[in-house]
Amino acid sequence: MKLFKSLALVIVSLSGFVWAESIAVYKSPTCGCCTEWVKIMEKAGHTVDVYHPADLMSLKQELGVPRQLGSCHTAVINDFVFEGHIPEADILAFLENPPEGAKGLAVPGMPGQSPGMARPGETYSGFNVIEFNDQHQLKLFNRY
Amino acid sequence: MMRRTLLLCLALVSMASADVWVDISEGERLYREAGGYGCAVCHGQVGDGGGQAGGYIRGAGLDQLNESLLTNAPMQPLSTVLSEQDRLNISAYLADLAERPLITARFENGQWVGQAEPVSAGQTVDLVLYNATFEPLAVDFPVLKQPLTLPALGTDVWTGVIQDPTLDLPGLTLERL
Repeated sequence: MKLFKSLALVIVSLSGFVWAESIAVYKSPTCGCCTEWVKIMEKAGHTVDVYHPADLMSLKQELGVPRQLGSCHTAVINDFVFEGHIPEADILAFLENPPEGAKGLAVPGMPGQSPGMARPGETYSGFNVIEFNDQHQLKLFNRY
Repeated sequence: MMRRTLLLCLALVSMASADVWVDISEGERLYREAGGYGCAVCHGQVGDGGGQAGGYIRGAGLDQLNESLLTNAPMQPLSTVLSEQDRLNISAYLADLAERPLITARFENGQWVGQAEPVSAGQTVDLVLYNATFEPLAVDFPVLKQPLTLPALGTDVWTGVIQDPTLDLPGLTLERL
């Protein structure tokens, strides 16, 4: 485990960005698919701190998630916001080279074949990863 | 509004042992907010599916809801926070939705395409409009009475009376269900 962490540190150092100490995930205590997404991130080697705010919808607004991009859970990493069932690879790509002015990424709603929703081993497909900024302008970041 | 209030006051669900009052407005609130995110995130704004994992549930009854809360993994945690009355209210809201034909329309690649359940003249419908582009979109279907603007990737629901059952909306190609 120690070796893995050291190796991970070397890799992120080489790739030009450093993760925050942990990923903060805001979700409802009754959200099962949020928990599945958290498990995927933890399995990939990230530390995740889970919070259950009383008013999740208001929190999303405060964090700047455009209303139409809403999903169940919201993650915050290095002051960037990640809404919904985003594949880890897209979060890594975003953090490695954050697009100018971007606030974060979102996978709106609950696509059935997205991480945390798909069956184990199922290929991710049928959804888009959307980039957004503070002005709620949107851009396609990746397509599955 | 009056129709809704009447439904709220008069709706009765016949149970095996007793008649139970239901609150459709409370069912709608739960549909939007239950668990902090609501049923809408998986089933669309008005039970239309909205292209999400949960799919179409307009008209789903109490038995279906209870079954899903028991066996559907993403829904199981909700079973701990939804009381029997909550479930009755949600199923009453879904039954209320099913009284209105659903029309869905999606704008993409410069055109509107959609699907429509059978509609009679003078019937109240739910028209779900989705802008699948990355720019805001002005919508001026005459039936809307006044134009509206959909944000990029935004959805809006118009509920109103359709006078022309042919649903001849300019620029919209509809598949009849």
